[in-house]
Amino acid sequence: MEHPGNAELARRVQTGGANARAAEAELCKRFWQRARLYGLRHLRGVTEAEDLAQRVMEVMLTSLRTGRVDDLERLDRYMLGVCRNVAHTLRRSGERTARAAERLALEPALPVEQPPEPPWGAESVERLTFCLSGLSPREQQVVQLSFTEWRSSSEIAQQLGVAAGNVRVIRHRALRKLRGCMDGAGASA
Amino acid sequence: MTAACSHGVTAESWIDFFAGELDEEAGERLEQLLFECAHCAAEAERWGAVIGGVEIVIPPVLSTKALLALQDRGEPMNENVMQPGERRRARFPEGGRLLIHRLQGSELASADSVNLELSTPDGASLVRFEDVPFDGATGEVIVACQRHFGESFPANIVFEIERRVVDEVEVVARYTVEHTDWV
Repeated sequence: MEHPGNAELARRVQTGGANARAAEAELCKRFWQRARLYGLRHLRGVTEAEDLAQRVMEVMLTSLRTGRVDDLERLDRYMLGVCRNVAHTLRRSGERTARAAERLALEPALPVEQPPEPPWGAESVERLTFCLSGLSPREQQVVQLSFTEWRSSSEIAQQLGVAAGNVRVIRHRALRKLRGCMDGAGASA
Repeated sequence: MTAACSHGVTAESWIDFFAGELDEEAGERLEQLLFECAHCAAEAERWGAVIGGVEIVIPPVLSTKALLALQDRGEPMNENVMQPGERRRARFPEGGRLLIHRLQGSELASADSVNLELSTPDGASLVRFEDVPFDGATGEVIVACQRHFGESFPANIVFEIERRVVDEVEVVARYTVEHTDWV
């Protein structure tokens, strides 16, 4: 089956008509996760990242529908720019809520497709709980402090009384174990 | 794993990317790849799912701060406050996945670290958590029982708190809980 490129999908949205809705859904599917990951890195929180992804999808759809994207061939680059702008505004405003979107003068609550399922399916959280229990207490501590409290290596190092370089080594090792455990679960499913 | 691509981004780079440990130039390069390289995006998605999942997963033993964060995000939960030596029946909230056991009254002010052991009432060990979060001032250890634990554990569980001071380890409190509505 033919998979249209991003530019072709964007053109369908711009043109409107019968294919536009399906093209919008496909573009949201392709870019939602990337925008969420961008948000995770910059806003350091799952809720904030999902909020950013939602806002970015709204900007994308509004811009395409109103013909405000000049170079459809570089839609991926345009999307990165939108992520940067939305994250910047959310950070500056200090309000990671719907009020931030209002300041961006976005159209309210466009119907955006449901977020895609995580890579390991609906049981990912249960599986990850199990995988986390396989880490050493020190590895668990570093992972929790890194990605629940979003602390830096130097902050964690200070709290645990180890060198910042060690924190990074422990974090790399722990994440590799978790990823291996999750991938193993996917393979056996 | 997804098929390799020519950009050769290592696992460590993706982990550092999400941990905010890359310099600006390296971080921007990976951001660009996230949007412009499908293989890179798929790989980032898997690392991101693990890392983002850590925030969603509720650890079995919580700090007071972590419990407050769960309450703030509106996670439905029942709380079961217990004192040493008590035996209690406890239930999950209707439609909720969390039952919080607040194991209070242990003498933990002088503890260097605290361990938590779960066993059956006849003494068979189920699982042991070392170096768990605790509140030395209030003598509290907070256990977050989750519905799906019922697939692995019996309904009746003894929680045993161990206090370590320097090299001396001592059991300071036991609490017995009967979970009446596992899974």
